[in-house]
Amino acid sequence: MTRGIRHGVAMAAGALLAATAWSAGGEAQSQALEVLQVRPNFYMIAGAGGNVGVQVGDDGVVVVDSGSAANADAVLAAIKKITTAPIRYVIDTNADADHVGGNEKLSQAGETLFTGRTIGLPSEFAGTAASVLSTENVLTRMSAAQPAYTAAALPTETFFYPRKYMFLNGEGIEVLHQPAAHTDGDAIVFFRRSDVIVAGDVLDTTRFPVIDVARGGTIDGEIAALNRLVDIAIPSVPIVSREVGTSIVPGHGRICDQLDVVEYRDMVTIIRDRVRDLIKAGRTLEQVKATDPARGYKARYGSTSGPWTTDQFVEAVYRSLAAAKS
Amino acid sequence: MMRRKTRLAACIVLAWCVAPAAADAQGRGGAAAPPAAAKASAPVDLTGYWVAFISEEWRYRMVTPPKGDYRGIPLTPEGTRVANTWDPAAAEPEPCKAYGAPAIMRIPGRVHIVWQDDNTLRLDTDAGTQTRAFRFSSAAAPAGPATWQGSSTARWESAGRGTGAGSLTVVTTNVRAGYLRRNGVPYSENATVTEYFDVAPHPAGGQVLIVTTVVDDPRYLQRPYIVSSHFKKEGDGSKWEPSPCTAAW
Amino acid sequence: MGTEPVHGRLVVLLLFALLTASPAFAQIDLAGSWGATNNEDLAGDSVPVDYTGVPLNPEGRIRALSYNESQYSMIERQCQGLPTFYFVQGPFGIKIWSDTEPVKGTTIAYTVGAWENRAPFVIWMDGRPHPSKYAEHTRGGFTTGHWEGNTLVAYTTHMKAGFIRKVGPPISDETTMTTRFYRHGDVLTVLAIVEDPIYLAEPQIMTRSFQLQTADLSPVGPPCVSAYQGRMPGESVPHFIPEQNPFVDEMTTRYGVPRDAALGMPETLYPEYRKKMKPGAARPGVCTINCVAAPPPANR
Repeated sequence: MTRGIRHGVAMAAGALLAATAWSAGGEAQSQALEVLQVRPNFYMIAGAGGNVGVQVGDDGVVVVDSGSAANADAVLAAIKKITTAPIRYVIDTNADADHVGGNEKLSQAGETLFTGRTIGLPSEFAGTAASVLSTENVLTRMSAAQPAYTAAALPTETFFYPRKYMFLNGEGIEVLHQPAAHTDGDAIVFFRRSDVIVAGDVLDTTRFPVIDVARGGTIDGEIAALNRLVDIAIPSVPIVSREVGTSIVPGHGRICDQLDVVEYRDMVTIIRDRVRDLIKAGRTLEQVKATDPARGYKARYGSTSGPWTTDQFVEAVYRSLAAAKS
Repeated sequence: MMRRKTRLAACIVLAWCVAPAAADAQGRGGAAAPPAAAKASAPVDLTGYWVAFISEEWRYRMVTPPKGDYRGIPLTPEGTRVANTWDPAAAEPEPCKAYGAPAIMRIPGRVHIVWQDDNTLRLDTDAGTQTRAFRFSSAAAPAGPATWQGSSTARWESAGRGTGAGSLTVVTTNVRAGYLRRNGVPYSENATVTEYFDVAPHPAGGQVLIVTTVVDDPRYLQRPYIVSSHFKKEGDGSKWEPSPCTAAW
Repeated sequence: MGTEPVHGRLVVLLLFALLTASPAFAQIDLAGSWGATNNEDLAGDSVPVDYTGVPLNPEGRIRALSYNESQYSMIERQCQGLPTFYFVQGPFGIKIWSDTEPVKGTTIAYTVGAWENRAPFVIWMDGRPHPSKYAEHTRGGFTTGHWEGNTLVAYTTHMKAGFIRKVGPPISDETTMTTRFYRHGDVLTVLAIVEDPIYLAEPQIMTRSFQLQTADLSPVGPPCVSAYQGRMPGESVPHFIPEQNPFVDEMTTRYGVPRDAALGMPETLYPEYRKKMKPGAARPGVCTINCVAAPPPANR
């Protein structure tokens, strides 16, 4: 066979392989993480512990949640593949280690918006690292955590009122405090023009919601937070077949739309209703557990082992309802 | 030497292109080969034991629906009149009326398909112990009295040589009048039944048989009545359980 | 010697053409408006607890029994639509068309057009992979297809959670579906095998036949606008305690269907279940409701 034919056959084979492969728009890999493009300027990084939201633009990068510490390098590398613009903000939706573990790495790699303007500026804005924003309770929880977080990992900006906002990369960004939901420090972050909400652990498509009663979480607050997500999100109406609408990035699991949140909220509400009715009937926790109030949903969301079991969820629902009743 | 190799490669390529057409040409202008027997030319294998999977119309198939429930059946006024004469309280004098060819594939039961000979596919049902013979022949079906299963002619629909895909088409006439639905919905002796037998893999292993049944009956039906039934293939006949026709359910 | 590379290139081009060309005998034309015959499967949503023919596992049964159809009055759910496989269950016809690559003429996708409450069903034929497990699930799901002889085979993932029957038997968002389109003349039979490891004891098999018609079917549905129907958003979620569903005996009362069958016990889908049924027991006399279907609408 001539060199020309060998070369030609090799090219033909390569072309055939290329024709049958498909590269979905916007997907890139960084180690074990998966990066999904949600909008032209918005990405989700999955597999980093909790999901990470990344908004990019001329102002720099706004990151929502930083994943776990073990994945911080990989998350940073993934962001660098998306853009070389500096990280300006890391917004924490809660104080869980799988959401704040990368705070230090990401903020230190970033650059605050407020560099070079130290005269007359409050001291917490001076410095070169990206700002870390959260509710006040997240700072409180992180400050008391054991083992302790470094100072560089702690939030540099906090708020205790219902809404914090900013306008970056061409859109309004609302950081909305959701009291007493997953914990007492939850926030959901709404990117208004992108029409993306990063929900944190208020929404978790992989399991029953974690209601951290010890850290101020309650089932009614969780349902209220889910209802707020439903209220903010807009589905694909009136042209349902277009399949467009607000995208919601959960704390764990796949990207959702409003109907997915409705499905999740209804599940949580129904189980809450069952437990509440049993409490009204005077049942103890053990009696409630024996009734199996999560039946019908355990196969999809439940677990008998691991960090959050069905039993723990039912108990959390019971305790937060009992506490509210007393 | 290099030029010879190039010519050789081009000839091989051209031969690959031309070979199927040349083989087809043998049937057109060349010397006629005898038609292959149906069994030898079967594009799909329908033989074996198949069990009905009643995932649709359960209450019309597993039990007798109430009188007057003709939902989905495009009855003519005459067909409706006849259906309304059915008496649910009376014993059914001919229990096999609901087991005729237009309706037999809807009966919950098993079917066993074998080659009776090289050009006849035989289908037995355990429910009602009925036998259907699908003759692969262009000749007209033999004349004779109408029977529950009538006379059936069959042909393969092949997707093309080498595809391993195709289906069976069966046309049945000369049927005895019977019931399309157990609650007295009739078909007449003028009914023609056209059926298509297709197979698909089952995700749990094995196969699914899909039978699309088209019943034309100008006397009792305003337009064709089209239903589709499905069966799962079984490994053997260990669950085969012949039982007589019955109106018990 | 100067002509040898040209001959070599010619052979390579021929090889390339052979390798990439579709087999001329493999496909048939599925495009057109396929009218609903509505001869079967019309009775599955008339009674609240009618899970006959649905092989539910215990979890699925409990979910189904807890379902209250008043959920349709919730503003958030009024426009939720139906799952994509509803086109093998519902009363409407389907319009199928193909999208073609303009240079090569190959088919990029087939689309089964939408209804008012069902998204279009797009079958990608260009070999693209299914999306990430983290990608959004849609009403229409994500479907890839290929030809097996004259049968179009499609595989769907990324569907939303919903119902396999409108009265409550659920499907989860882990459901996948394999669909096969068989055309015989002017009759199109569609086989859908739905697998849900969460709620189904075994794969559900559904089929529906359509007939080619000349009247053009609409490929889109009307818009959906929600309205207040007595329940504010987030106010409450209608549901039953599973053991207290008040409709659990209605199939038995109305049609003589044993309760096990009404509840979708998997064994009831097989002929041998009849051995457990009392012959002729509770057979109702005369149909009193939903007895005779109206003819299908003219343009369906």
